[in-house]
Amino acid sequence: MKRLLPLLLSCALLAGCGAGQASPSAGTDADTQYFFAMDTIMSITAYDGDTSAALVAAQQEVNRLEALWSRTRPESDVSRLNDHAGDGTAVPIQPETARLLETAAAAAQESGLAFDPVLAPVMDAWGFGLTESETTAVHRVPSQEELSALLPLTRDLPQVTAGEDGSYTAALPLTGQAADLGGIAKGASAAYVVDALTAHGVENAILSLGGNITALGHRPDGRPFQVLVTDPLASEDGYLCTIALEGGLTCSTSGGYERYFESDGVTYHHIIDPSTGYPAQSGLLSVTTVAADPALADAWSTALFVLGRDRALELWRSGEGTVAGMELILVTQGQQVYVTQGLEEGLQFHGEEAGYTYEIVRR
Amino acid sequence: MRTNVRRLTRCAVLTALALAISVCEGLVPLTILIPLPGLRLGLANLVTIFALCRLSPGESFAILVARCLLGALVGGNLSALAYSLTGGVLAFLAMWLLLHLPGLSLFGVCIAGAAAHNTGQILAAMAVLGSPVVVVYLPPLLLASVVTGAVTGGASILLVRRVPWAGEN
Amino acid sequence: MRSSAAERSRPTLWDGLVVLAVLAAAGALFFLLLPRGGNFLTARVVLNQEVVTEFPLSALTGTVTFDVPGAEYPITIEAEPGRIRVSHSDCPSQDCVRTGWVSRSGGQIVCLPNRLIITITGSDAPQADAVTG
Repeated sequence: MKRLLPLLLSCALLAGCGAGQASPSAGTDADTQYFFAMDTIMSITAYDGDTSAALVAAQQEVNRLEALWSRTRPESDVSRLNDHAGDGTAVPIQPETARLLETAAAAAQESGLAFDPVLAPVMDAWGFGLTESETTAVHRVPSQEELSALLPLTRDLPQVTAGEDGSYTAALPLTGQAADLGGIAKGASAAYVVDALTAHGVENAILSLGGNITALGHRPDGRPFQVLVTDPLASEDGYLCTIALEGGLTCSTSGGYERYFESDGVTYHHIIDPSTGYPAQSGLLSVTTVAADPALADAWSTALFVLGRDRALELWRSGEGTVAGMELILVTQGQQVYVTQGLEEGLQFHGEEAGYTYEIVRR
Repeated sequence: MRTNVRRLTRCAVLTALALAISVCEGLVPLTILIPLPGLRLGLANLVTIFALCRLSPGESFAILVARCLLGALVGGNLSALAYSLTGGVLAFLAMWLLLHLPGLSLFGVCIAGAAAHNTGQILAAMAVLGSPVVVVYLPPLLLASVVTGAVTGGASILLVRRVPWAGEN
Repeated sequence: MRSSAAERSRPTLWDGLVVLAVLAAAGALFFLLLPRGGNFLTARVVLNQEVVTEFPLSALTGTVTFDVPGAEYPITIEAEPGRIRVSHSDCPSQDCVRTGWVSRSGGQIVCLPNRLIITITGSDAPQADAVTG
């Protein structure tokens, strides 16, 4: 049976507000804002402070960032950068965009381009790029020649230059190049949303920006926020485990199940390995990262999915670099779940019935 | 030749009547009262049952198909054709079959026709939507078909008994 | 053609049998299709066989209204804690709007002209504050 995949998935849910349950603990007047942005449904729940003003400000912040980072809006920083790819023009960009490009470039370099912010030409060839909605996407399998011609365009990262007056410019060196920050923009937005919320006195909130969950503070009952990790094989609502997400941390999940298409009986998912141009065949079903920097959590969940279990755990164990500072949940095609030790406390595993086994990975 | 023209006219008049009835019915949708997708009284079925009683199966079938096609054209909604045609053909087959059974009255025939029509519509909807979930509408639609079938059955008895008919020539 | 059925003016016992058969079919289907699952409701919007969005309906804390991107006839969905409806649709039939609120596991709203289905499924999934992946 064909599995229906969640394209624009995930809202945050409020503790204690399930059907038929009593209202949440007294004294909380939580407020939730749901909206569509960056091609996904987002939700932000604030538990204190000036919630209504904070949520309006938070949504405005996301809209403002989307206007800078969208690939489909012709006036965005990213679109203008792409329009001038290879023509030598230094395109003026906002400081937020410069910061994001630098974060993206750092993640790309550190991951050996397993996370690639300029993969857009290849993604477009597969029909996974430039689409407003999955319903209008046209997927196809590009030929090896086509990919071989495109892959050289996906290696050179955008060059960001800081002007003396504090302004920034950026340029893509090669004609035909295109940046697509979709793999990091939602995560990066979380930092700005948190700033907007704290500016309005919010100390406890949970953000769900297209599956990237950011915790600010804790639940009204004082416990850390509880986050469900989706079972990548479940056709209905199935969950692998619940993790406790401490305040200040973001978790992000990447999996081939999120978007894919079938052609001649072969399933092609949307996480393209930048080294081959084909969907990553790393033996993983999904990767969840937990990190303090939401942009890095977002980018590295993709990168580690491409790199595979062994490399991911090696990076985590090494004690050096970005991944060593994160916690991970790796789900293999053999239904083995690897949870790093920092997540052990508060972990509730739900995957036994579905055939999963898990182990805690220690340093 | 004379017979052909007569037959043709007869079919044309009945088609026009069926079309008019179904358009009128569409103006006062039953779904306003009971929000159940696909729910209608099925008065156009009166013409099918009348034709089945008085004309040949071939002519009756031609009237049904013409009514569905024209209905879709008049309504400007070609996608509705799938539903009306699947439902109509299934209802036609059921009623044609049951008319041959001894012991039934037009009540039973029309109720079976209505049930078959609703089943056909749901099958078409499942095909169009590519999802089996719409089948949950079938039980309430079947219940409704007992009522709507009884109404059209009663009406068809009056129709078949009262409307004079010139016979076979 | 001649048929005995065409001559009768009163219902017969055999008609009753037809009614019984239809009712039995309806009843059997109803029980077969009885929704299963707990009261942790998830709403799923499917357009042209593609999932547009899926979210935990039971856990909403306020009203959320959104347009379905890519729908042939513009359609607006409104969800509240535990229930969902089509608040507006430009489709010709308007059946989806007339269906009103659905709030139970197994409930659904269909907009045939848009080839859109909203379903509610229930599960005994654990309560949590958010879902990742």
